[in-house]
Amino acid sequence: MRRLKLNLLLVAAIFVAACVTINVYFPAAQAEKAADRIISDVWGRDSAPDGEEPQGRLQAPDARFAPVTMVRYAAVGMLDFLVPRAEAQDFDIETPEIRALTSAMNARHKKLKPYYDSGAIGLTTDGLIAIRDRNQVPLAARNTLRQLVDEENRDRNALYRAIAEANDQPEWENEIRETFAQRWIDRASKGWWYQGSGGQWTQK
Amino acid sequence: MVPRYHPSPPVASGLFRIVCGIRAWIVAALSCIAAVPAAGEVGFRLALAEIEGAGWRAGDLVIRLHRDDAGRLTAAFTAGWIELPAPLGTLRDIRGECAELVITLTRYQCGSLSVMPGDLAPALRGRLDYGRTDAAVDWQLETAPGPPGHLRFSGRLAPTRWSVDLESEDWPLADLAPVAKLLGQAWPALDGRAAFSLVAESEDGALPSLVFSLEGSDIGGGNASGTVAMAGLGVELNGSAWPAAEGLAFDARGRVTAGEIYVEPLYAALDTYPLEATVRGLAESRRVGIETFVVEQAAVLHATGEAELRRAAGASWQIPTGRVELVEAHLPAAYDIILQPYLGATPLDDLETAGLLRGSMTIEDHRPATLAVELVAVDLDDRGGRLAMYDLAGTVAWSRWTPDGLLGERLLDLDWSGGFLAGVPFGAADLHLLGSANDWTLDAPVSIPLLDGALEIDSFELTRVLAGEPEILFDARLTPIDMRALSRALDWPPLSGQLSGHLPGLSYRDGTLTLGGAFTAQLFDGTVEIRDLHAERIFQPPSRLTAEIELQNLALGELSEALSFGSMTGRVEGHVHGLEMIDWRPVAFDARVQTPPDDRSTRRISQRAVDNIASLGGGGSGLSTGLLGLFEEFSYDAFALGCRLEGGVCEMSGLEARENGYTILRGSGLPRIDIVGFARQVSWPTLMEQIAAIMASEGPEMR
Repeated sequence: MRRLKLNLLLVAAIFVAACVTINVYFPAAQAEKAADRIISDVWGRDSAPDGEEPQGRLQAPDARFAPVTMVRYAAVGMLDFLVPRAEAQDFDIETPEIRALTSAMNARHKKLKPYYDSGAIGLTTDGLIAIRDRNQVPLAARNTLRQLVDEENRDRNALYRAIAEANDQPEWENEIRETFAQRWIDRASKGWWYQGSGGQWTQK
Repeated sequence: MVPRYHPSPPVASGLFRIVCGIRAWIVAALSCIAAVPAAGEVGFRLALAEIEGAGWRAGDLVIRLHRDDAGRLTAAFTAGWIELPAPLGTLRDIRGECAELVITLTRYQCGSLSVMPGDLAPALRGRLDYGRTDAAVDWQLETAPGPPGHLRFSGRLAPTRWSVDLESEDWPLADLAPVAKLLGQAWPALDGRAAFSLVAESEDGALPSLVFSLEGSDIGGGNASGTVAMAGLGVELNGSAWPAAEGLAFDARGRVTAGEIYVEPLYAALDTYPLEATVRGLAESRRVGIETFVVEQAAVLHATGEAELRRAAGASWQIPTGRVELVEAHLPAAYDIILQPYLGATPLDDLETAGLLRGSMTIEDHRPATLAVELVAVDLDDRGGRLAMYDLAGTVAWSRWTPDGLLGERLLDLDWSGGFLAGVPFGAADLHLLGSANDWTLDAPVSIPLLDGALEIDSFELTRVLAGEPEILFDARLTPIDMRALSRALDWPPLSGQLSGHLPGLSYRDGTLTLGGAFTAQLFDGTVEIRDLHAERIFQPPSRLTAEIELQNLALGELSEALSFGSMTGRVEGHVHGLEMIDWRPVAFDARVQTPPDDRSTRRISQRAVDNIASLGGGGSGLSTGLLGLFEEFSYDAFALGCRLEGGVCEMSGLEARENGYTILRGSGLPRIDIVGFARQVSWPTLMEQIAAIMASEGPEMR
């Protein structure tokens, strides 16, 4: 009986450690800095200034001392002991592919900007853009805008994948996308629209 | 009698029901009746809480009769609400007044009638007669002249026949919204004005005959999401319908001659490309047979066809059978308006086009059964300069019913007179594909002339065509092409030699081009072998290409001449390993060229070549100014130059490392000359600029 309990405890500990590692090792603060650099390159002067130093999720102090948090710290400590922890280096975004994508997105931004300004398009929660209100767009330009949005989203998806691959962590793609989604919205100009978690549109 | 079928929306038969209802009124819940005599006048007032007939009810009714001093009779009524049978809804706040009421033994005559039909329409004025012997009602009503347009409504209802005539001029379309709502129809937010007329008549309870016309101008609006929108449309519509067989036969013609329309993703400017359509058929309750339809858009297309639409109870309309004949579609308009919107993010999304398309499609059992498309003298020219094909002619013919998917002898016959691929001209060819719906294969090898050689395609297979993830597999051989002509076409420095070889197992899948084996080219009297070629996203920048290249036994004489490098004889071998190109620009590789150790050929290098190599190595030789400047050429023993590119920096190497540098060229004999490179790390863009400058300059040749 006692042995069974021990086994269960061991299994539980492995599960906790396995669940935690991915989240803990994603360097959120570095990812946000990298996102900010790319957003500045794509939007140029249209992006709002960074403001405060972005607070990484890793560094964010946990207000509550919940048991889960304690287990997490314990697991991190254990993992650090067992596996040498990777140095929290800057995110690598200086690859030719990322530069090519950024430069294509910057060129496209000149065409998209009037549509951000008019509210015809907005930023979505998954780090992409979407047509919010076609009625702001002349009929003759609606298909062109549709294709521009498709191209932009294709490049954004490729960008998130390329950043994950450039850092040899393909499984980070989703976290990178989430980081970008938040930073695009934070850095958007006043008057632009973005989607909330419930899908509703809000104007900055 | 209840008609067996109501065309949608069955306004006329709805009216018919009301008439029946009025004539057969049955129940009246009488709440109050009061005679109200006034001084010098005679009158009475009838108030009804609710009255009900066959299929209709009305409530809050008040009817007043009043005779003035001069003996003129006036009647007035108000109805709080009138519920009409489906699909009509409820009318509210209806008022009417009948002055000059004459009641005789044979007639009730209202010489001056005014009706205020709630929010349906503005007040109507006119006259109404009721013949007591034939039980027929005649009326003529119209709106007061002036804005918002003019509406005239007249008709006659008799026990066995009825007719209604509705006409308007300059009527605001927004005012039709309440009518549509009453009919239970969604009315788009439309603005603009229209003149319309509708004449409907029926006999013995049969379905009515209709004649209608509509002429609208400056019509705009669309749905809330903006996926369907129009602006400034000029529309003409006319037609007729009449009872036939089990339903209502119809014949209609429409023209749209001005404005613009967007139906995602299609857009058309109708001033430039007016649209005309005619349709004839028979409508029954669960079936609409379209005997023929014709769609013509000037300078764009002309199509005809027929179709059968059916719907099960409670389901939406479906097309079990049909046929569309594309008589002709004219390029470029048909490409710009109809095809391009569906080709975004494909290699065909930005074309200049010319020529004609024809085709036909049949639908059987709710699915496409056969499809045939013919290209007549079609020119395609990509504005991005990737591909051009001229004088394309051919047919695609597919059938679902034959096991091999063939409608005719072959699935695809295509020939063209020439074109360009990435700037390289190719010649006329003729190809034929066999196959099923999903897999197409070449029925005989094809030879496409390419400069002075040809691309011989031995096998070609296109699979998963309809699955949306097409895969291409082909084996081809390149018969010798003169490199001078090829480099001219690609705007490269003039390279000598010939390009030829085998392209084994070239495949294209999911946007990625892969070479199964190795491609060998005969260049500069030697061999260049390309292996592991892998090109991703070739049509969607940024493209990425990776490859391994081996160079064997190249003649330096030809190579140095081609690169305007100065003269150098001997042989070189080498490699470009780990080549990675983004957007066709190299971003990483490990490259090295060197004289083969076992090569016995004469090795001489000119003064200019020494200068140029030395400048690449990070210094100048200073030969042309010194004593050695008297010599035109030097012998050398060995040569090697390497560059490992990473992160925009080229890590240079040579024959061997030396103090402060590396030996690029080791001389022999007298005068002996060694070239030593000092710059170990060179910026790749700077190196490219240097090479471009060397190739552009003729260089000082000392005599």
